[in-house]
Amino acid sequence: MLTIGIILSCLLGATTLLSISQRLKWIELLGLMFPVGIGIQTFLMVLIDWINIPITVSSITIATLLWIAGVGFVLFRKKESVAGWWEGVGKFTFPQFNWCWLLFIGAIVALEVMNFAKTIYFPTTDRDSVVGFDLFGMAIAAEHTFKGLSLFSGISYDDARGPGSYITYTPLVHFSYGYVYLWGAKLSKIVNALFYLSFILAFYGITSRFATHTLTAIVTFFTFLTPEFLAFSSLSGTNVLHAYFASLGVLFFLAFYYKQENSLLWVSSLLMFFNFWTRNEGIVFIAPIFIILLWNAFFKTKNYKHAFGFFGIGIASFIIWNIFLKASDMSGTQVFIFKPFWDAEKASTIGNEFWALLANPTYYGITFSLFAIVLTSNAWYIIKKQDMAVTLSIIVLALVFYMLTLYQINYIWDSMLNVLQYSGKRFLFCFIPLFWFYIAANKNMKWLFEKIDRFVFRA
Amino acid sequence: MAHKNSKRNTILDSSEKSLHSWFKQVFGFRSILMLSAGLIILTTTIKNNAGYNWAWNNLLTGNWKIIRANRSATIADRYAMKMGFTAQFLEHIKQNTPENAVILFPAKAQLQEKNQYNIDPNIAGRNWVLHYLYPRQVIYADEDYTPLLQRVNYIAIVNGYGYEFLNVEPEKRPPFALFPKQ
Repeated sequence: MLTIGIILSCLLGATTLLSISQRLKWIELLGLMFPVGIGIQTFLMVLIDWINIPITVSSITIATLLWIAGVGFVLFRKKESVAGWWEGVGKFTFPQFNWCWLLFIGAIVALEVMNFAKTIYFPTTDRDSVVGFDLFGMAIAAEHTFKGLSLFSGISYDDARGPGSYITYTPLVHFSYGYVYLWGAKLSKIVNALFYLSFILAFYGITSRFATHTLTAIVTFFTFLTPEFLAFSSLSGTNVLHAYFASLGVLFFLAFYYKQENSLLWVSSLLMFFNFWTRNEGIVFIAPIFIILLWNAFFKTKNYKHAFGFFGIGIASFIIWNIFLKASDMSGTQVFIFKPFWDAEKASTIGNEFWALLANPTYYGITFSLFAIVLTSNAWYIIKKQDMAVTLSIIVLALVFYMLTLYQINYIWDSMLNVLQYSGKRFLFCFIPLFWFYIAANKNMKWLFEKIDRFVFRA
Repeated sequence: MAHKNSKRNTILDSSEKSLHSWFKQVFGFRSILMLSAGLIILTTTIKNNAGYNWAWNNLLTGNWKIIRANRSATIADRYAMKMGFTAQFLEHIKQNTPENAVILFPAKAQLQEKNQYNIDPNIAGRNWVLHYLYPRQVIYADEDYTPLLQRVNYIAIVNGYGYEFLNVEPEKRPPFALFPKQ
C-alpha cells in the first residue's frame, strides 16, 4: 500500500514539474519529483480538510488524479517540447571515466545506503516530532482531519494555542507524515529518508550545470557528509526538509539567472512555495531573490513579471495556511514583533552565536572555512568581474534576514541564548548547500578543475 | 544524409578505439594520480575533522552494524533500543488498554524524580506520552480536570507512585505496573 502512495507522489511531482519546465535534467527530475509531489499532496490535504471532506486515501487519490489529469492536459499541449525532453533523456551518457569521480560517487552511494537504512530503521524519538509533527501525522491519519482533531479539545494536548505551539507550524511536515500513515506506514520516517536521497540527486544535478562532474561529485559528497546536516536527516524535524526546498529553490533560481533558462525560475518559485509551506522563516530566502529580480527589472529588463510572479507564488503558501488557520479558529499566540525596536544585547547575542555556529568545524566540517578560503582567493574576480555576485548577495542577504527574523521573535518560552545554542545549528542547514555550491561554481575552482579534467582526459 | 554519414563515422571512429587506449585511460598514470588525490582528500579530511570522523564512524558505519545485528527487531524493540525501559513500559500500557482508555499517571513532580530505572522525565509531559499512547487519553494526579478524572479507567504505577489511587490493595506492589480502576 505504502509503495502505491509513494509512486503516486512521484508521479504527481514528475508530471507537474515537466509541465512547468522541459529543461530539467533527468537527475534533477528524479531528485525533485517526490518532495514536490508530496508537497502538492499536503496542499491538497489542507484544501480537502478546509471544505470538510475527510482526509482519506480515497479523497487524496481522487484529488491527486484530478491534478495529474490537469497537468496531463498541459503536457499534451506541450507535447513537442516534452518529446524533445524525452529524446534528451535517451541520449544520456555517463561522464568520462574518472577514478576520482567514481571514488566520491561510490562513497556517497555506500554512505547513503547506510543513512537511508538508519533513517527508516529507528523510530521517531526527537522531541519536536514526538510532541508535534509525528503525533499530528498519526492523529490526522486516524481521525481524517487536522482542524477537527480531538487532540485540540479539552486538556487532551497541552498548550495547543500557546506561544510557539506546533499547531501553528506550517503544514508540510505533519501532513506528509499523515499521508504515509494513511497509506499504512508503520513509521513516518520514509518521508525523511526519501527527502535526503532526493536532495543528493537534485543537488548533484543542479551543481553539475555549473561545475565539472569530478568537482560536483566532491562537493556533493561533502554537502552530504556535513555532520549535523547528516545527523538531522535521519530525524523527523522540519529543518532538513526546509533546507531541501530553500536551498534548491535558490539554486534553481541561480540556474535561471546564469543560464538564462526561463522555465527554471518557475521551478524555483514552486520550491519556494513549499519552502514557506515547511517553515515560517521561508521568507528569508524569497525576499533576496525578489530584490534581485526587482533590481534586474528596474535597471535592465523593465519586465516585472518575473519578480512579482516569483514573489506571488513564493508567499502564496504562507497566506493560504494562515487563512486556513484563521478560518478554522486555530491561531496560536503571536510571537512575532512587527514594531521595529532596538535591543543591543539581543542583537549582539544573535550576531555572536551565528558567528560561533558558522565557524564550528564539528557541526559543519570544513564548509565555512573552505568557503572563506575560496571567497578570499576569488576576491579579484568578485570585485572586477562580479563573479557569482548574485549567489553571494543571496547568501549574505538571507543570513541577514534570518538574523533579523530571529531578532523580531519574542522568545517568551525560552531565552534567545538557549534557542541559538541548542537549536541554532539547525537554522543554518539551508546555507550549507549554498556554501558548497559557491565553492564549486566560482571562477577559480572551475578553472582549476577544468584544467584537471584536461590533464586526466588528454589522450 | 550527410548528418547520418557523419554520425556513422563517429561511431566507427569510437569503435576503432583500441582496448589499449581505453586501458591507458583507466589505468594510466594520470588516472591513478587522480584517484590518489581523491583518496588523500577523503581520508585526511575525515581523519582530521572530529565532525566527519563521528559521522563516518559512529553515525553511519556504527549504526549500520547495529541494524545488521538486529535485523529482525520489531518496532517496539527498536523503540526500546533508543529509549530503554521507558519504551517497554509505555508499550506494556498500550498493549493492555483499549484505544478509548483514560489513564491516570502519578503527579508530574513524582515522575521527574531520579530513579534506578532511568525512566525518561519526559513521561511527565502529556504531549510526549501521547505519541506512544494515542488515541488513549492521559491525565496526571496533580491536574484538576473533572471531565477526564471521572472517566479514568486505568491507573499507571510509575516508580512506586500511584498505589494510593487504587481502591483494592494488590497482592504485590511492583514499582511499575498498570491496573484497571475498579
